[in-house]
Amino acid sequence: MYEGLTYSTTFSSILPQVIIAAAIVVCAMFDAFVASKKWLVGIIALLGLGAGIAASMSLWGQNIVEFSNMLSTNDFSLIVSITVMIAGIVSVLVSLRYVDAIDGESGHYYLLLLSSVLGMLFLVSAMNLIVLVLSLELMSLSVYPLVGMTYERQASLEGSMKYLILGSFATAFLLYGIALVYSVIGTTNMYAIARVLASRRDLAVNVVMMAGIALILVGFSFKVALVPFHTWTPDAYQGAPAPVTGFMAAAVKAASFAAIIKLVIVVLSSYHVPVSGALWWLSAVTMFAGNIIAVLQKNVKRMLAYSSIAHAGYVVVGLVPGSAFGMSSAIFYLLSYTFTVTGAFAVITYLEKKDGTGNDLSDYSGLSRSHPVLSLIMSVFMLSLGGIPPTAGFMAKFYVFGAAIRSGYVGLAVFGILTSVVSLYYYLHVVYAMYFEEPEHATDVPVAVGISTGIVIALWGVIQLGILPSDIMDLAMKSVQSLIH
Amino acid sequence: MELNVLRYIVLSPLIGFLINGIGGKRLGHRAVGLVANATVLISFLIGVYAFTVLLSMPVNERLLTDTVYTWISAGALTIDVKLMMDPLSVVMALVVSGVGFLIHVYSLGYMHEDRGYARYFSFLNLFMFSMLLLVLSSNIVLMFVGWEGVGLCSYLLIGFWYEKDSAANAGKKAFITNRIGDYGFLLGLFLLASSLASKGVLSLDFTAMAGHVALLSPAVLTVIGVLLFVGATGKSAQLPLYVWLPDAMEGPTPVSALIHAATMVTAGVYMIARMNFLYVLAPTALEVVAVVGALTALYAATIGLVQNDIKRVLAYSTISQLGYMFMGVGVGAFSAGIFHLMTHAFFKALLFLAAGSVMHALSGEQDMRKMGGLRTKIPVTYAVFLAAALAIAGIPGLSGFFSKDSILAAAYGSGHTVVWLLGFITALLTGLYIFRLMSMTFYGESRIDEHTAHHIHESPKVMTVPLIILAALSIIGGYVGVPRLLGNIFGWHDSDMFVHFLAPVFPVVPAHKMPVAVETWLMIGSIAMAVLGVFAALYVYVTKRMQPAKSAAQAVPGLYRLLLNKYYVDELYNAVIIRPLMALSRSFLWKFFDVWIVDGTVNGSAYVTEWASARLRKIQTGDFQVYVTIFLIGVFSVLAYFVLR
Repeated sequence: MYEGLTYSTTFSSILPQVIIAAAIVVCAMFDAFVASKKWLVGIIALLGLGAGIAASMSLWGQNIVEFSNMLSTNDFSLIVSITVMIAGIVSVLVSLRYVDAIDGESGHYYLLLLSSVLGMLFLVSAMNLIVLVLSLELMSLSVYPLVGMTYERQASLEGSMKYLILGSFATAFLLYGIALVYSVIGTTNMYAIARVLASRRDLAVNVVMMAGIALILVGFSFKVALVPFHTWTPDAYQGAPAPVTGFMAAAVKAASFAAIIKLVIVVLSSYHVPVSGALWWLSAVTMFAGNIIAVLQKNVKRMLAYSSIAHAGYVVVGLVPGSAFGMSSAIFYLLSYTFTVTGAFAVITYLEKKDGTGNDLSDYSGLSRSHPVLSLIMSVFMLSLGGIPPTAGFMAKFYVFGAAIRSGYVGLAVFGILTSVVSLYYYLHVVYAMYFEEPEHATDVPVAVGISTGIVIALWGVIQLGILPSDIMDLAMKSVQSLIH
Repeated sequence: MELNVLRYIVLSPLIGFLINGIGGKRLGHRAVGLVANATVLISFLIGVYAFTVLLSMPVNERLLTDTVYTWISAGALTIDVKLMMDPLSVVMALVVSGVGFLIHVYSLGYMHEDRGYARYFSFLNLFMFSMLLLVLSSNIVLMFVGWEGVGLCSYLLIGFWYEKDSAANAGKKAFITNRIGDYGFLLGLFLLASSLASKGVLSLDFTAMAGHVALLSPAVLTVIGVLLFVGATGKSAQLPLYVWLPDAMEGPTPVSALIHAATMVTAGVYMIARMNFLYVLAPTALEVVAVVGALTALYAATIGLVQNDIKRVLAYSTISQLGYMFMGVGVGAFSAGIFHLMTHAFFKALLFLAAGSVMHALSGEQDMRKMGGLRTKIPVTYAVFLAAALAIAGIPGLSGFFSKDSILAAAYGSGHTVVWLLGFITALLTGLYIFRLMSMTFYGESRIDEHTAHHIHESPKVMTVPLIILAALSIIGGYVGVPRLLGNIFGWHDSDMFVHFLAPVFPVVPAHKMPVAVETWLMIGSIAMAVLGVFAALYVYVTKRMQPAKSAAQAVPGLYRLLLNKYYVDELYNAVIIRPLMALSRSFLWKFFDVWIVDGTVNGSAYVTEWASARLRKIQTGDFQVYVTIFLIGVFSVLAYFVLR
């Protein structure tokens, strides 16, 4: 399977990772020695992420397996890398003002964010289950403290603790699953496992193998917050600073999903049916519960936490068919969701106060009177989350449901569409509050260049993907092809 | 040849729309007007540039394209957002942006005191965007986008003064009538696409279709042609879907000039000219077009004879003139139809704008019975009005004469004697109604009440200058297409430049060789009709100061009432279609279906959702043990699914 690929021991194929690692070191230096100007650390982080994206783009079209077959750089890893780095850039931009409010600790913030991105970049290129776990942990361990960054607020700390404990719990299951698979196959290399699975028919009924795969699935379901492994999400999302929440919803989710997609395509293609069935159920339950519970939420951040759970369900709809088109549609969905949700949280950051309040629906009442442009942009993001054309969210839902219907999963698609109708209720509730309710108190938001830039990037993405989806979809198709070969 | 500036012709007004639409009132009058006018002027200038590029190319290669992006890609079918400019669309684009620009300038003065100034200009720019998209798109799907866009803008602008019930209703009427036409258009489009696809042709580009429609059977082509024409009768106000256009006069007058006279209503004519490759293969469909056009021309002219509202006379005149254009394309004389479209754009836009200037002078009065003798009081308006009236009447030497004559000659020459006769009679009626309007407005004694008379004033420069330019165009605009017969007399041997310029676009129709004598007599005949109409009107209304309305009402009361009430068509539609629909809607659809079934389902599902939400939310207690328990239940479920399945 990988014999024909290029072998080398240079670092050029992991240039993005090298750049981010270097940026982390420079950030640490600045944080330690330049005490006064913390925002400089943020600028360095931005430069690092920008260079990382440029490096990823320069590697486009190559297919390189390196480091004893543990890392593979291909179009798939690159498109997801670029996605998470875009999310990183928007989050850093949005954080520039926010972080100044965190006394003394602000430098760590960017450091943690970058190291989380580093974990993601390794996660998407890992071809070995052990590397997969290691990079997953690098990503997660950097995010836990980010959630608790505003630790003087009890909610922030509480969310962080719950996330940490449940996350360790999930990792334990993941590791146990990998151990079970290893005990049967005898290797942790994903290509090698795939070959064994393809050649040994008896494994299809091997209970230990089954259990191993089930537990690996559990581990990742936790990271992307599929019901019933989602319980940490509302507390962590609500407790975290708004830019961090956006980052988690976009980047952590995209990277973890990329790992699932990779596992399904590379390893489990011969195990297709049972995985697909399990994903079917997880998707249906997630779309249902996520959307239904979101309906009665009064806090916008918490509402978007449930919404983010529901969106994970929609991404899984694209995975269920197991087809290349379905996988591509899932990648498109992740990219679209990245732009939309980072944008929405950027707007939330504008309105969030230092003590963590300002996120209730009532705080959005009559916002259009005082901030017409901000309200209009927030409405675009809400419509995109709800899947209304001509936004990215519509095309994303169109593709995943289309993929499901093409492969005969009409029931799941219909169910998904029904739940997305329910979701309109709470997304439009925000729009309704902004435009049709009387303001309860005066809202005055000082303009912040960083946040506005982040919003512009996100808005551009939402509209670009909504109006010109085919180019991006082509890229997604190419990236999936690069994994199959 | 690829020419990438074409997109900016279309995009420029869209940018204007976005700026004025978002900026709105905060920008202030001056900025709003500047943006709206500048963006349209840019379109026009780029159009002129593209025109020169086109002229510099060899005659048979005159085609510029601009592929913006691939819009829809469904399997083998791809539809691009692609613009094209050939001799036909460049004529349309220049007329639309040129006349459009003049009307934008005029609007600066006309709408100056309106509260909705920014809204007005943003809609007007949106209209320019849609209309230019319509005429420049290279495939029929994209053209339909423009087609719908202009319909939307028309609706928005007719109902611009939405506080007025009549304006809001007129907007709705226009929209609904157009939807009926669009239904036909869409059916035609779908039939065209699917029958082409069944022959393996997966492109809806005009150029690609032109090469392949011959694969389809004549019967299918006829059905497609008629269905598309149904769309055209809606948009271009032909029988039987013309009813919305007279009511559309509720909108601001520049809107009537731009949308409901010069540009949008001609979209149907353009569409048929654009689809000429299909229509020449479906002679029956073309016959339908010609007959409907001729009937409409005569029918609307008779109604125009007795209307008293100055704008309504012009509205029926527009319907009648559009009938001429359809007559032209219907007898296969596509360039004659487009020629008349262009000259009509000049003189009809002028008539409306000048009528707007009259209303401006008379504090908004539209009833001609309360006008009269304005000739000396507003001389500039009078002079330009006269030029336009002579042009539309078909007096030799002015633009309308050349284009109308080409249509009538083509109709006769191709053997459509009845169609020609209808058009011939209409020529007389045209002279009559337009000089009846002139007489009642400008000549004779003033019937204006004292208060209004006190305020009479000529319009400001910003309004009169566009009028003068349009007047010049109405006079000389026809010289690009002087019939060869006349050209020969003056030793100008390729005088019908317009036909030559458009020739590469249209199919080569076997020339109807008419003896010079016949052609000459035809021309003399139509000149006689026009002159007769004009003088009859002047004689009756000015010299004799008769009140023919009164005597007609006494002599033939039935006919007079029939005309005055526009043949009772509105009443007929009301009784046959609208009332029964309303009754059905009220009793069944609303009281039973809507209230019980729809509302019941909606409210019920909302109730169930909230109920479920309230229950499910309780699971999220915040209690950590509960979280772990749920997690473990999940783990065991997944494990069980895999192991026990």
